[in-house]
Amino acid sequence: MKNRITLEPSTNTHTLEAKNIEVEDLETGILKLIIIGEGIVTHGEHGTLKTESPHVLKYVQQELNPVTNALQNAFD
Amino acid sequence: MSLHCLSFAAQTNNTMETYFHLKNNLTYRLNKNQLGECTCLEALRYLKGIYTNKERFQERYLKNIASIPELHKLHSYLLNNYDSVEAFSFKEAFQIESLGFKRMVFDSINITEMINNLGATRLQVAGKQVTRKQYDHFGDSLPETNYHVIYETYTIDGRLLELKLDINLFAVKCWCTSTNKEHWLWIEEEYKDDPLAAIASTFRFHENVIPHIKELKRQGDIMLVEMKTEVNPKGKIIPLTADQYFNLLTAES
Repeated sequence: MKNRITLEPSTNTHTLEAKNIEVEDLETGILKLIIIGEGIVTHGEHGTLKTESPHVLKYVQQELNPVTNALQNAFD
Repeated sequence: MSLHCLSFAAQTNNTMETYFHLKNNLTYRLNKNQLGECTCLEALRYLKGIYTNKERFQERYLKNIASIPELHKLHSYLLNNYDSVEAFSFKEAFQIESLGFKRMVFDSINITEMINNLGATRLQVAGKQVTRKQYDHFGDSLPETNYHVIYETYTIDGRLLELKLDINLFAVKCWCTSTNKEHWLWIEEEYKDDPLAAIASTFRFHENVIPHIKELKRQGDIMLVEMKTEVNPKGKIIPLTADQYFNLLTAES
């Protein structure tokens, strides 16, 4: 159990804070989370969000690269 | 050993060579300290175009090779030189002689840079009135807000890339609600005439997750999928439809 985790590493990291957080890393940027209490999600550039369910999955935006036809994470 | 670092040995000119298949189509030739068709420096410049910050590069790439003794030298090189190299620019990518590596490098070029160089023709525009939850800096709820979102689809002439690929490229353009910055994302041809479906298709979840979604909250490039119940994601990963995306999304920043 943790109470602060990095949701996505970047220059402006997406960070989740809550009373308690269970994390399962499903790879390729997908996380399965069990969040006890309100989850506060912060980022240096984007506005703050609050999670309101204990069961949360985190995915990364995807785009299909037209040159290689490879699906890739679309980072901002 | 990580699935991303499969190794194999091959005999060439009476010498046993050891190769490691790494992520992003790179093959490390251990005996020659080379990565496929390119030098370690070229490979690092290519990788920097994909992993645009060091934290993600360490998490998504270097972590896979850190524990393999034969790759320690490569790992040290990539880690120690990441800050000092620059990703390939669009113009530099054009000058790469190897067609295979050139295609790979174009894969890593920032889409905005590519469109600025190649130009794009607008295909469709679509807008939608949305209601969104808002929070203050501490996560406390603020009154909901209503605004109009706009998405545009574009086509880019892929022949201009000189990759011997007779293709048209398609992209959707959107604007960040926090920063008002413009963003471009590649899309598949099937979404070229439907900007709302196009933006929805950039979020793809496991098939068994979608029926149990309570709401979606988006912060930049990540999506928090709040579930009605605990679900272990499995099966195919499929794009959201426009209805799913716009009906389930309650907050975006």
